[in-house]
Amino acid sequence: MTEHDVVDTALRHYHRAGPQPEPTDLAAIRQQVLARTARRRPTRLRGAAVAAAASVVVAAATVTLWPDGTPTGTTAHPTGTTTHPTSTTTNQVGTEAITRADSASATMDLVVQRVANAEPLNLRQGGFLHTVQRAASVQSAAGPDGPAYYVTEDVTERWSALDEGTTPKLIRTTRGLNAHPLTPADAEKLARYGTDYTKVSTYTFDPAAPNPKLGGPPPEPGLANPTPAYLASLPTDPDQLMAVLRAAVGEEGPNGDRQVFKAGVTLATTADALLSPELRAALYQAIATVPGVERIPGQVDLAGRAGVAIAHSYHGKRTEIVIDPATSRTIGFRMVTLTAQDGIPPGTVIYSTTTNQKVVEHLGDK
Amino acid sequence: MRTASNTPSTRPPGTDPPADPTDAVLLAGTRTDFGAIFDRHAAEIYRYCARRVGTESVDDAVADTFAIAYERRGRFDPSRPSALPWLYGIATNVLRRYRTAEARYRKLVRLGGETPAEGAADRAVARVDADTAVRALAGELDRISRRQRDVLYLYAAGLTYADIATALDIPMGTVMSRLNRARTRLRAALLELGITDLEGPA
Repeated sequence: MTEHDVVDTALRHYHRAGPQPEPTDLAAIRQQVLARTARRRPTRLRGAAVAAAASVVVAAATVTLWPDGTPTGTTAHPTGTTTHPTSTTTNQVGTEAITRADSASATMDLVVQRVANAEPLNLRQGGFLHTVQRAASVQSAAGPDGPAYYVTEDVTERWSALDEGTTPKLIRTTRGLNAHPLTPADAEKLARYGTDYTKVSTYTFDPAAPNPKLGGPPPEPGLANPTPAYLASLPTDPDQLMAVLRAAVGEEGPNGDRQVFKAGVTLATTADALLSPELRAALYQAIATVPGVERIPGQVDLAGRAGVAIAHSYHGKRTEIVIDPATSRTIGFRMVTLTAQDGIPPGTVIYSTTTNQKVVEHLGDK
Repeated sequence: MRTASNTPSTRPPGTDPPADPTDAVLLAGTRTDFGAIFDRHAAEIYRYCARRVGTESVDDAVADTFAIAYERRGRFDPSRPSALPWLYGIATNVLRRYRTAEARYRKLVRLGGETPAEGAADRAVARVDADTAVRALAGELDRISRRQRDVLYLYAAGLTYADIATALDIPMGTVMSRLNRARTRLRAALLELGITDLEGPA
């Protein structure tokens, strides 16, 4: 027990540090509860995320990607730093071949041949990594006849200091965009329940402003906060990189495989702009060797961007990393139901995210 | 927000006079009686939910918890001395639907975007250590399994092993093993930051 004293004390601090209720808060909730019990209207769970989507959402919190609409060519940035996706040349693998490849490893091998010619971002000038993430997710509103589902989008912008990794210094989020019912039946239910699911809200998190003394040092460099220096320390051999991911996950078996896949996908998306061609190649090849991964045939569309998908399935849900066959970069990832989940039909995309990433000079620049 | 005149009694926990009816009696009673259950336990449930999902979602989570409790009040085991562990269990289930908010909020805590820990020790060094510990825990809580996290949050809220077992409807041995696994990880995370000792909250 004594060995846990510091942990127990820290946990007490953790609990105490949380928000405390004001009497007016409780009074308002009380009013709401009693009104609901009077109407005999059961649990109304506004804005509640479908539980199924949650495991990727955790990963999505730090996801970063490349600019929209840059399947090929060069994207110039105000600071003069550039992303430079590989352009098609005669001696490269065609995107058609990648699209046609029928296994995860064959796909990744072809993609990796393109990676060899990819130019990473020029990070030497310092500055900030600006990430725009667009995520669509299925949300639920509960009512007397069971959950009503709708799809809504969040747009989150993050700025992080390049040399400190991906931990944001500033976050701006807009939630609730483009909300629409999942099916016509859901539309009917939402209308009947009177749920306002179209509310759009924005939110800014500026760590420096409210609590300057809490600025503190960024999290340790690692998979959760991949600094350029940390990434440079990672092995560029797929097997060795896999060992790093395995060690970070620390679990064997199907759930361990799922987590290793997730860790690889998270790194590929989080650190996309920071990956050297060698590391990207190793990472993709490592992802392709996770037991149970498969190639989704043909092309998939992720928020209007076509890519090839490598997938891992677990407990009725399939998580897919979507890679642009033309640039070899990660477009994003999505989660699809394989079986009916809480009334959501099989084949529903319950979560998808794409992000843009570029280097800017100042915090808050776009 | 309600005006003060509409504010129901929100007694601090532990100040109920001994003659007050038990939770079981109140749960078997009217809607007004259920209001008394709310007044008795809402603050604790609020703190628990707020600690997990932050202020943006806490009102909905608490309201959902009590609305569900009202629907299921017939299922409460009247031999239990307090409804609180049962309410924690309902809240824990409700919070599963707020996982997005929970993950976002933990991230915010991890990045230090929260007000400093209330009741932290006065000495600046101790306060910094406490803040660092809180942020480190938020980061580590992201990495442990949901099951371990549920147990940890309830433990942090001050529940006993037996109460946690009741809340989550799992054996006490399971509570202890999950808690110990999670603590070992948290301890390692704190050690990495050089935190081997902390002054308790005031």
